[in-house]
Amino acid sequence: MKGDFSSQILTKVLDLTAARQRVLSHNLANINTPSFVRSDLDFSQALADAVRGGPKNLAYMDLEPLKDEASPARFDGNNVQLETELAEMSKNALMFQMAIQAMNARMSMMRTAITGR
Amino acid sequence: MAGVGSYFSTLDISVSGMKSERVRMDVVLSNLANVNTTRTPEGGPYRRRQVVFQSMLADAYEKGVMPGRGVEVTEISLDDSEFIRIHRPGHPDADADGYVMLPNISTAEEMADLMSASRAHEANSAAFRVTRDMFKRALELGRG
Repeated sequence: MKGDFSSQILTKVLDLTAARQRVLSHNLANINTPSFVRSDLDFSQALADAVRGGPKNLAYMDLEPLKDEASPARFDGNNVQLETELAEMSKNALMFQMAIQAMNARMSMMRTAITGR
Repeated sequence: MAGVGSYFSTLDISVSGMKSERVRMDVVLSNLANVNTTRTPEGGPYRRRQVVFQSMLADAYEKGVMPGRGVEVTEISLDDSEFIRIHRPGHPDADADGYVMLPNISTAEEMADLMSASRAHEANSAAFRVTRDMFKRALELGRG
């Protein structure tokens, strides 16, 4: 990973939110598959720890989606809830957009510094 | 971790959900249309059909990174429950005692199934839009 630390963090956020989007889409696609157990990629704590640990920790940070056995299952053993998945998806998309905007803001700052205007 | 391809495959996952729910709707509608069908090419009344959904496993290279790549309909199976037997002596397919065998379909059950399929289809298309908008934002990187 190249660039300064804060762009590395933002790049990581983009990676993680894109991956989580996939996991949530997979949950939603299987809302009617009997005995399907939802997965999730909860990265907030791991990301906070990695950021505190510095660039090296961040570069090595890798997460796998985990099965969410805690959510209550329906009669058919499926524990996907339409509302939850859609809400999590919206939050995730907002986080992605936030990272994109922050990156754009940084780039325009650099542009200002380079051109002096 | 996740490359550009992951956006496209995320869209494919939502599409797999929409496709499967569409198949389910087709099957339910066929059941509803045949709720009174007493003659079929196989002989006897129409037998209720149901879809079997199965979660699609992730490709080998992304095992552990991704739980899977959506859903598919693996089978349209026949419902083996008993036909409904009602007394209708005037019916051409009535037996000696005046009873007719009608399909093993409950209209209320099929309607509930239809609503559930339509809601799930909608949810998957909403997910598709969210992912597409994320992708569009990513294309704006560096333009700000």
